[in-house]
Amino acid sequence: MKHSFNIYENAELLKKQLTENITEEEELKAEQLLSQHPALKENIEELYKKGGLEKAFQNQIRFSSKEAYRHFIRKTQKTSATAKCCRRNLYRWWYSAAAVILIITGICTFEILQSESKKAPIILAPGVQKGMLELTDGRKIGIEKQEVSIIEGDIQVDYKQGVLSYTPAKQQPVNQQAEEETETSEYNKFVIPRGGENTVVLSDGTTVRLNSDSKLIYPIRFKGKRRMVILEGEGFFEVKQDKEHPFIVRTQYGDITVLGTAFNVNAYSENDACYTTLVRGKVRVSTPMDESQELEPGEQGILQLNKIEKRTVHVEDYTGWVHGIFSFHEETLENIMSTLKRWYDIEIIFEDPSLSQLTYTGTVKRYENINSFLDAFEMTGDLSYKISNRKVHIFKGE
Amino acid sequence: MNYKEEQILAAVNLKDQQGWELLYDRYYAALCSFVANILKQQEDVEDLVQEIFITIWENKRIFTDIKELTNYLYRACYNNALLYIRNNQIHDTILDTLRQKNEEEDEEEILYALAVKEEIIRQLYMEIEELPAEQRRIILLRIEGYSWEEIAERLGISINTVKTQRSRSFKFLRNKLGDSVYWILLFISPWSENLFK
Repeated sequence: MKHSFNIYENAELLKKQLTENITEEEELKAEQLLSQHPALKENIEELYKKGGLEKAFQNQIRFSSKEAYRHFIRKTQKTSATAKCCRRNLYRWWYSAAAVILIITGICTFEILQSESKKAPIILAPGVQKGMLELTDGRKIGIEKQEVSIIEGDIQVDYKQGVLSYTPAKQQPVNQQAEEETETSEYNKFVIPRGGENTVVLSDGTTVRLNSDSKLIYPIRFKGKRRMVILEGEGFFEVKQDKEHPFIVRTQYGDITVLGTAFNVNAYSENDACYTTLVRGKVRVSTPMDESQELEPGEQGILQLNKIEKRTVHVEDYTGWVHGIFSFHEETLENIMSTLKRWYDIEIIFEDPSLSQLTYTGTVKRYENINSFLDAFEMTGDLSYKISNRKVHIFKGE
Repeated sequence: MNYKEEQILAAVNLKDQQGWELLYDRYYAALCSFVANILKQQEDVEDLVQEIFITIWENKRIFTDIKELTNYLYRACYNNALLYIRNNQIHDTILDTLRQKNEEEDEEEILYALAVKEEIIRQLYMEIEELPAEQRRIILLRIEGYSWEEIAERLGISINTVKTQRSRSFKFLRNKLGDSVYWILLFISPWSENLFK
């Protein structure tokens, strides 16, 4: 079948048409698709005929997946004892074998279990919600599981259900811009360590999801014409729209100016650049020398002190972390691992330097322990890994 | 991608044996139906589809998203079905029908159409699976071919009130789409009072 046929997407579109759950734009697309493929049109029309849909369903429910799945388990269990790729099942098998020996002999088990525990993988858990909040008076508060509620000036600061929020106690007249441009000294600093993440809702309603090893400095209440925050590391911004007061994210590489939108900023110092990925709306990125460029959704601006580059990217690769996944397209192992080491708080050691330049495409869940992640890489046969003392050693696959 | 689809993708890529139950649940029947349509018989259909799952299990391929996986599965079925036809000298398949009609050049188009049709049904089925228990039961009974009256009887609910109230607003839809899509309306809108306003 031709590779240009996109079965999943085409079916999704036509399903929407069938259930009349479709936008005008999609309707046009569906019509176009059907006119391009007469055979498809003929088949779809059958579904619209009396009894057509029931018949199509009945064709499928003749087949039972339950028995097939059981068959699959039987078949793959046999091979897993020999296949290298199914290491985890192998362990399961080893453990049950050890259990059997325990029952039968009851003597030599101790040794077996001991040797087993040597073989068992070290599990490294993913990051959790944590952070350190520095108040205007310099006090520091650890932000983890416990709820926090404090008052700073006329701002109520709460930490509840994983979100730090700033709520003005009373509504001040908006146009009171007496101290224009005087950025008040009432700043808070929210520091997220490696292996952590957290969310903060600023006093204007803007939400910032902060990734591991990141720092955000922001006024407890925005004053003046601009809403400015300073970011080191990585954050996903959903900016509350307010045309009168542009929102500015300042990084060591330059500024990102916003009118109301969602975007990701990655400005870790080890990258030597700030990557701004726009999800929706519009932003302008500018260097300290005031050279600037506007971004459209799906575009990424790369700021490097005195120059700006722009490119189109897979947005999911840069914002997936907000939705709990790591996604990457033809990314080098080196770059993938630099994300991982912050999230899992580990060091990565490439025992063979050439490995760092291998490229991969894929999606992995972010809240799994690191082993499932590394197992996936190991399965490619390119590499193997060993963990000791929060260090992950990467070897060439045998 | 919804949560379930992400789960399937993760299970496939990480070769998580337990997670594959969901993969089977969501794809097996649709793929079997697709292959059965090509071969115009039911014999060996299940073995053929099973083989594809096992090949993926033993393969190192990583899928980026659910679309890629879905397209791959249908394509693999198509390829294996053609191979099967050739190796076993099967006649009277969909290919023979096409040849008789002199539509050989459209072979790919026809098989693509069949795949999309199965995929629509598969995706609808997945939506049904996400429904609350009662709605799901009604729709599944309907799919199995029970009439409204029979369903009402089996579930001990009154369908008559429902029917009269509903008929006015959905009359034109019914005329347009035919009876078979009628029940789909049940899950576009929730099964609740305001559905029948």
